[in-house]
Amino acid sequence: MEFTLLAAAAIAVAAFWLMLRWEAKHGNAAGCTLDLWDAGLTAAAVGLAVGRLVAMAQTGINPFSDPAQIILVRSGVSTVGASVAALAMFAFLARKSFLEASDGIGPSALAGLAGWHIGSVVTGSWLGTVSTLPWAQTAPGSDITRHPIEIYAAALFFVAAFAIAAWKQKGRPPLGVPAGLSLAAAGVIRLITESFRVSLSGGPVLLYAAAAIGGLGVALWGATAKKRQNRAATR
Amino acid sequence: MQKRLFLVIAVSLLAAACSSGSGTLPSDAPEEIAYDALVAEITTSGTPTVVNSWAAWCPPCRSEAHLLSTAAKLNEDISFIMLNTKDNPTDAAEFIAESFSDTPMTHYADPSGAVTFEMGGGRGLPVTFFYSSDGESVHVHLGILDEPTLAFYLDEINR
Repeated sequence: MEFTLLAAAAIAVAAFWLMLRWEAKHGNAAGCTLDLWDAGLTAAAVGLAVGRLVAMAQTGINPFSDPAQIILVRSGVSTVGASVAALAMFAFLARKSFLEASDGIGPSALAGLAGWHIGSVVTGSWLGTVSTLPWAQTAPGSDITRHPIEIYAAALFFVAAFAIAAWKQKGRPPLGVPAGLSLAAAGVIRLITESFRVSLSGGPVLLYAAAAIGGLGVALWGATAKKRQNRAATR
Repeated sequence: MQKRLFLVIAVSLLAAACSSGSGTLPSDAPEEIAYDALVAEITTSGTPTVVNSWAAWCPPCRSEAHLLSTAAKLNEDISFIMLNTKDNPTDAAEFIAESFSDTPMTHYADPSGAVTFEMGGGRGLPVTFFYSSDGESVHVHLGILDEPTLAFYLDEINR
């Protein structure tokens, strides 16, 4: 029985919870009636289950004849399936105050992703392509130095999470902008760090690019909402 | 007389049922290999080698089969040896035909699990052994493989 994935998940959940708590002290998600902790965990659990089912279907395993295999998370979870399902579940749960809830959960979701990447050090899959940089690391028993990509990803996700959260507290950005920037940051960070990963498939680059572009679009839409309203009022 | 006849028929049927299939392996069942022969194959191949101990009755082994098959197709410069361990030959042959039919892999059987044990496994299936081109053991992965781990150790043994 392997518990390393559970440890990684626990670190991710802890980081998500800590960020939510820290932001709550500063009046996070004002006007949002949704319990963000509950919604975040539900969306993540649904995303994980759907991602695993999609991965099973892609590898020719019938979920109806082999239902027990759904718990073999380590053997593969479809990133695209999991991300789309988690976002869809969150959108459904937050349908009454979607933008407020998305702004409220954005930085915490980034912190959760940072926690997950820290957890990848525990699972052992944290090194990437070969590197001669001073901070490059080796796998146990190897003398090949490599990029510690999970540390890069964790650091970038934490920086993005704190930057957006701090801006939310001080700058009071327009509705939708923190959520859009969080989504864009997730896409950009994964695009950067995945380029250092040793991979068989190359990773879902299109998904990350779509998240970056879509997130920037949402942020831009939110930032210009007031201008549009004013223009409409003066007509 | 009738009782004796019935007894003879019953014993004959039982004997036939017990003997059916035993002793005749399916023609496409993996061939049994000894530890020394497997080590010789790994050390003399001159290529990096991955040995995966698996069984058809083991759900995690079945689950990682697609990943190993993809990796073998993408890395034809690496030898993939699938060691069917403590398994029913018919089930093994069926699973090989189903999952590895057009994959560049070598299949062997380890009916007692002794080969896997001597290689450093033996604490459950699946187990994956990674060897460099000079036959040196680089890593033993106990349990199910994920894509980043497999890709990483393939890169390690291929350098």
